[in-house]
Amino acid sequence: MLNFDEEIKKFQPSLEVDDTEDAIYNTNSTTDVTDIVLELLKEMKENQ
Amino acid sequence: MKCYRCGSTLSDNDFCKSCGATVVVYRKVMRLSNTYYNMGLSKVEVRDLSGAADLLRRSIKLNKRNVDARNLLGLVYFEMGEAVQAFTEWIISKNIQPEDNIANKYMKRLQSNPTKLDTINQTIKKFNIALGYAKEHNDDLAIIQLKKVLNMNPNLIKGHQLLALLYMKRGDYERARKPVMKSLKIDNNNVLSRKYLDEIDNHSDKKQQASKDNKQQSKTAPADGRKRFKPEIDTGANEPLSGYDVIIPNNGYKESNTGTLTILNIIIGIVIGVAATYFLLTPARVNVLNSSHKSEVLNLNSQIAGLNSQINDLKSQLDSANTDKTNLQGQIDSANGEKDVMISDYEKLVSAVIAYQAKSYVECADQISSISAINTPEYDTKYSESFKNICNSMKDDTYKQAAQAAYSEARSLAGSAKSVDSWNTVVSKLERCFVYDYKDIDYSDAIERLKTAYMTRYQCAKDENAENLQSYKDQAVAGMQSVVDKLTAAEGISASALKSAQDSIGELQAM
Repeated sequence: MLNFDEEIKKFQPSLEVDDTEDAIYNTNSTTDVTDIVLELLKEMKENQ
Repeated sequence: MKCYRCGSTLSDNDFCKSCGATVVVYRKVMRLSNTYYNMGLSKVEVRDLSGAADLLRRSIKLNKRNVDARNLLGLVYFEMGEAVQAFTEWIISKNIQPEDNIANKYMKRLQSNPTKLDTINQTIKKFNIALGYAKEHNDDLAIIQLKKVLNMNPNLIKGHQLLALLYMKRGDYERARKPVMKSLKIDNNNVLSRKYLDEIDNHSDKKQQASKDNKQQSKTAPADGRKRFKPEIDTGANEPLSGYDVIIPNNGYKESNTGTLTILNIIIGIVIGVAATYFLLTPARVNVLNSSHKSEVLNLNSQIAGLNSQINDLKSQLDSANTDKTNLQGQIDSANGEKDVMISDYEKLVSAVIAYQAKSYVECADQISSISAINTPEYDTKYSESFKNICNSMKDDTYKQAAQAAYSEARSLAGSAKSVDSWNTVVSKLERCFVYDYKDIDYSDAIERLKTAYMTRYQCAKDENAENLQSYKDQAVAGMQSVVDKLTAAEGISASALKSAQDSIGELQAM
């Protein structure tokens, strides 16, 4: 049996067009695995 | 595949030929990212949008510069109704690869249609408002708002899911099935939609089980022997009910199909139609006519008021004209009167001239003396010069003659006078002496004779028991006063004569 109020709380408001800029900055600032791997390779090379 | 250090194209070797960097791990990460992209693409092809979005996000996590994965993720978001997230991915993609990027095409297509963009923004705002209503437990408002949102943006999966959840919250599970199915049609493996569908199915199963139990209970007769109403549910070939089936209770009603009943129904329908026309349309029509008539009456009233005002103005003008007419008539009458008097004066002058030529000086003097303004200040202005010349040429001579004649006649009449009438004649002759030129006669004697005549006439009247005795006295006083006034106004009058006249007034008053 669903707890309806809890289910409704899980819904998040959609981003509006005015929020696009913030969304781009927040998304673009994340680091991907490639960055991590390159960082690791760099550290390994330095240790050698 | 490009080298992460120098950007040159990599070969099959484990190192870069240009810079010598080791690319084994880097190459594996890139391949894994591409693999996730391919898996996501496969999911998209079977409309598993949420699964595809998950795989594409993983691909981007591995390689944030995977433009294809980003563009596809943007498309998936857009298809799920999340336009802003789609824009975000496409803008980042464009930033990574400005040229030869399909994201440019996607964005241009959207930006070239501002109405569509505005509609998307409106739907997002309305969804957020609906979500706010739902969190504040205003479920009805939330449902209304969500219906509007889904009408404008039918692909908004979150909207369908929230609408289904609100229906389920109200216990309307069958109605909740429709938005869930729509969301699954867009994204056929959405976890949340599946969860809601399971919930709806479970609820339907429970309901079906309950109906079966009721059916079994209805087969056993009640212990008290009474018949109990139980709706019979015909489920066809005893197949389990699905959510789409509609249960129609069999209540034994059979529609009558006789011709009489049909005609009766038609007549009832006509009667209802006529009644509806009479009770609904007629009052409205009457109201319209009444309002029209009222406006006409108001218009006519205003016209009447205007006309009444004009009538009042005309009445006042008429009154003014009547007043002017009366004044003018008065002036005309006055002028006519003056004209008559003037004519009469001219006639008197003519008569005087005729009498003068006939040497009848007394008559001539009488005519001249009877001219209306002969002894007044108006005499100089009222008559023409010729009139005055003629009149003046006769006046001096005739007045002397007339005065002497009157004096002589009075003296001779006085000797034989015995009655009031004869003394009236004497008095009249003596009074006439003072009307004419009395200076050539013995006016002292004339005054004395006049006094005597007044007193004798009064005595005669007294003897004859005349009713108007006091009038004789008054006439005597007034006549003597007139003589005194004339003597006072004239020049060269004897003082003793004047005094005699003044004393006579006292004697006459005392008689």
